[in-house]
Amino acid sequence: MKSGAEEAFDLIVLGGGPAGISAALSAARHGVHTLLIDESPMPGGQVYRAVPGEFRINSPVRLGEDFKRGETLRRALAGSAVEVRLDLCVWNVAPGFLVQAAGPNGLFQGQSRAVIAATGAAERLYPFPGWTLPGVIGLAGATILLKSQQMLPGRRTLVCGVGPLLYAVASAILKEGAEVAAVVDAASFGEWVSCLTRMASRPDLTARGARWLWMLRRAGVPVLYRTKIIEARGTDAVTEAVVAPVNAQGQRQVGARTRSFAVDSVAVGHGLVPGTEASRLLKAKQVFRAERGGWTAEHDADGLTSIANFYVAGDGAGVAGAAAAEESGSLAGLAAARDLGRLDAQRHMTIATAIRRKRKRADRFGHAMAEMMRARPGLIDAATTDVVVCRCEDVTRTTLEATIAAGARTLNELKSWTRCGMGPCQGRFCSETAAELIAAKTGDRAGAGQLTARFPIRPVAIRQLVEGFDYEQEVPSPALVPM
Amino acid sequence: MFDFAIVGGGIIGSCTALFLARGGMRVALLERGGLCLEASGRNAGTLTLLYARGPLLPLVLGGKAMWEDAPSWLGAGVDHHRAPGIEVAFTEQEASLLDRDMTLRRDAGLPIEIMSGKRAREIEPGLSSKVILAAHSPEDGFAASNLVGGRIRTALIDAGATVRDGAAVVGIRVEDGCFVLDQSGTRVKARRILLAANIWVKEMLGWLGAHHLPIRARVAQMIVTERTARAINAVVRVVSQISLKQTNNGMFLIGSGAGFNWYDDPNEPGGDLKPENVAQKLGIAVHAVPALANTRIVRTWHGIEGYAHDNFPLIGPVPGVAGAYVMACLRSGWSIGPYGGKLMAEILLGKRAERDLFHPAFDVKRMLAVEVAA
Repeated sequence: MKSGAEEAFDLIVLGGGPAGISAALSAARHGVHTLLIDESPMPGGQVYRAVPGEFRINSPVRLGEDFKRGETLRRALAGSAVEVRLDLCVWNVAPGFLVQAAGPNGLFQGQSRAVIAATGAAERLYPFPGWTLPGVIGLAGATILLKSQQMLPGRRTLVCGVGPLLYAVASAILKEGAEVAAVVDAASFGEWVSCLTRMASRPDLTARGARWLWMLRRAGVPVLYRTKIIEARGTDAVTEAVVAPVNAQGQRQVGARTRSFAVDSVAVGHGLVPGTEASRLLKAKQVFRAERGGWTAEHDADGLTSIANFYVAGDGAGVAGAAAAEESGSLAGLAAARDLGRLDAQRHMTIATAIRRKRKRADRFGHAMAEMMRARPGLIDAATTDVVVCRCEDVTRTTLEATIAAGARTLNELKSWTRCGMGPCQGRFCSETAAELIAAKTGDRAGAGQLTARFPIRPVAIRQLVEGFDYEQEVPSPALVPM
Repeated sequence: MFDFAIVGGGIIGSCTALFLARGGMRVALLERGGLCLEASGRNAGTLTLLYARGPLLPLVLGGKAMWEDAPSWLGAGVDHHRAPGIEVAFTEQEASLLDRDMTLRRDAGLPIEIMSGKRAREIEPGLSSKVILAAHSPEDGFAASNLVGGRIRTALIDAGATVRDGAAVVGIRVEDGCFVLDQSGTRVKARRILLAANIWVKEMLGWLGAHHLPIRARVAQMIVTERTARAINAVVRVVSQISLKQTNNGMFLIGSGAGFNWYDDPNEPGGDLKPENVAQKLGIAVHAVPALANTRIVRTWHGIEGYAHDNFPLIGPVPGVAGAYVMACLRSGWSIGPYGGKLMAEILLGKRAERDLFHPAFDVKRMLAVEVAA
C-alpha cells in the first residue's frame, strides 16, 4: 500500500464542524500539535457550512447567521497552529490511534497520541412508499443544497418529519423564492410550546425560530401538526405526496382523513442520530439515550470515553446542536491538552469551568431540540410491507419482519440473515428502522444493539489501496505444507 | 433432562442438533451468541474440491451435495450458485505447488484438470494474463453463509429442538452418570453431550480432563466490495493466498487467512486485522482479476478458525468420558458442515457405524501426547 509517509501528531480531530474546529483550536492554543481532518472541501460542518471556494460572495448577510459564525471559526482556524487536511474521508481509526483516510488527492495515514471524534450526526429517515423516488431527499440533504449552493430541492416542496430542521428548511426555501406546499410536523403545537421555557436559555436561537414561523405564516404555508407523510407518488419522480394525522408516537390514526399535495419534491427527516463509527471501531463503551438521538460513546463531562485519550464532542456525543457543539468541542480539546501533559489540572479546571457554564445554557436549548427530534417509533408504520428498508441491498420490511419472527433479536443477526445494512452506507440509512422493527417485537430497543463497525467506515477505492503493488515483492512464496 | 446437549451453535452443532431432533431425541443447542454468527456465518461460502484433502474428501463431497440441495433438508435455500473453481499460479514456485497438490487430488478421483493460463482464461475471461498455471474444478460453487443462521433456527424449532442462545456455557460436570452444563448460571442436564464449539472446545475439553491440547486459532479475513457489473463467474483462488468470487448480487468477496499469526487465546485475534493486510490481499486479488481495481471496498470482517497441530479435525469420543463427543476445528467446516452433522447424528442415534466418521486421523487421543510449544 502506497499510503505515503506516516505523519505524527499529538492529536487528530475527526470532523471540521463546530465541535471539531473548537476542539482543535482549544487544544492547539495550549501547544498540542493538532491535525483536523474533514471530508468536505471547506471546514464548517453541516450547520456552519461554507460555500465553495470558487464562489464569489456578493452579500454575506444573505447567507445568514450560521454562515457568519462559520466564517468566524474558519478565520480562527486559519490563524491558528492547527494543521488542516480537507477532502479526506476517514476510513479507519485503529487502536493506538492510527488514522487512515482517502481523498481525491490520495491516501493519508496519521499516527497520534489522542483522538477527538467530532463526527456529527446522520439523519434518521423512516421509509414510506415512494421514499426512493427521485425528488425525495432528506432535510439534511436539502440544507446542504440550500446552504452551499443556494440550490432548491424543487419548485414546490413538501417539508415533513420532525424537529427544528423542518422550519429551517421551509424558511430557506421561501427565502430563495420557491414554494413550500406545507410543513408536515409529527409533533403537536403543544409540544413546541412546552419546550419554550428551556428554549429561553438561548433567546437568540429562539428568536430565529420565531422568524422562521413568521415567514411561513406570511407566505401562507400551512403547518400541519401531528401529521406525517405516508406516501410519495409518481412514476419517474415524485409528483404527489400524501399525509395523514398521527398520535404522539407518530402512529397513523385509524380512519383519519388523508390529504394530498401536488409537489415536485419532498424534503423529509425524522431527527438526527449521533455518528458513532469511530467510537465503535475503537470499541469505546456505548450507551443508549433516546432523548439524545440513540447510541453514543459513554463519556464524561469533557467528552472522555472509556478509552484513554479518546474523546467525543458535538452531536456525535449526543445530539445537542451547533451552539452546544462548540462548547463541548472546546472542553474535549482542553481535556486532551491536559491528558497530553500540556495543561496542568488546576489551570484546566479554571478554564473548563467557565466553558461549562456557557455550555449549560447552550445544552438546555440543544437538549430541548434533541428531544423534539427523538425517535418516534410509530412513524415506521408508514412503511408498508413491500417497502424497501435497506436501499443498498434491497431488503423489504416483510423480509425483516419475517426474519425477526424467526428469532433475530439484534441488528447484527438481522444483518447476517438478510444483508440489511451490509451495503455501501453501512446501515446509516436502515439501522434505525430495523432496530425499531426489532423493538416492536421484543419491546427492547437498546437490546437490538448496534451494528458491529469495521473498517472501512466509508467506501475506499481499491485502485488507491493497491497503487504500486508489486506481486513478486509483496507476496511470500508459498510454504510446501504436506497434503 | 435432555437426551443430548450440544455446545456450539455453528453449522456443525446446529446440523447435528437438527438431525438428532428429527430422529426423535430431546435436544438442547447451547450457543453463547447467535446461531451461525461466528466462522459458520462469516466465511466466504466457497464449496470446492480444490482444497479438500485426505480423509476429509468424502465429507467435503457429501457436504457440497447437501448445500446444493439445501431446500430438501433445511426447508429453504441459501443462495447456492454453481460456478467453476479455478486455482491460479503466478510464479514458478506457486505453479509447482499447484501441480503437486492438484495431481494428488486428481489421482484420488476428483474431476480436476490442470491447465495453462491461456486455457484458464478461455474458461474465465476475467482472469489476468499473468496466470502461468491453473487447476479447474468444473462443479464447484458457493452459497451465502450469512443466511444459514436464520434458516437453521427455523428448522431446529420446527424439529422440536430447544435453542438456548445468547449465553455461554462456562462449565461442564459429570454428575450421577449425566452431564450438568452451566450456561452462564442456568443448569442444563443431558445424558450425552457434543462439543462443537470450534476453537473454544480447547477450554471445554480441559473441563473434561483433556488439558492443553495443541489447538491454535487463526483469523480469516473477508473483504467485500460494493455491487458492480459482472466481471467473473468462477471462484478464483490464488495458490495459498486468497479466494475471490463475485456473488449473485454483484459484490466481490475476497477471503484469506494466509500469512496471519497464530493465537492460543481465540478471544484475542490481535493485530492481524490491519489495513496493510487488507491492501496486500487486494493487491493479490487485482493481480488475479484486474477489473476489481475499478470498484470500492465497503466492508471487512473476520472469523476465527481453530487448527489442530496437524490440521486435521477433532471428531469422535472425548477420551475417558463416556457419552461425551467432540466435533471441531474442521478446516473445511463450511463445506462439510451439514453432512458432518448428519453423520454425527446418525452415529449417535445408532443408525450408522462409527467408522463412517470417526477416522483415526481425527481422534482426540492423537493429540494427548503432543508436546505443546511454549
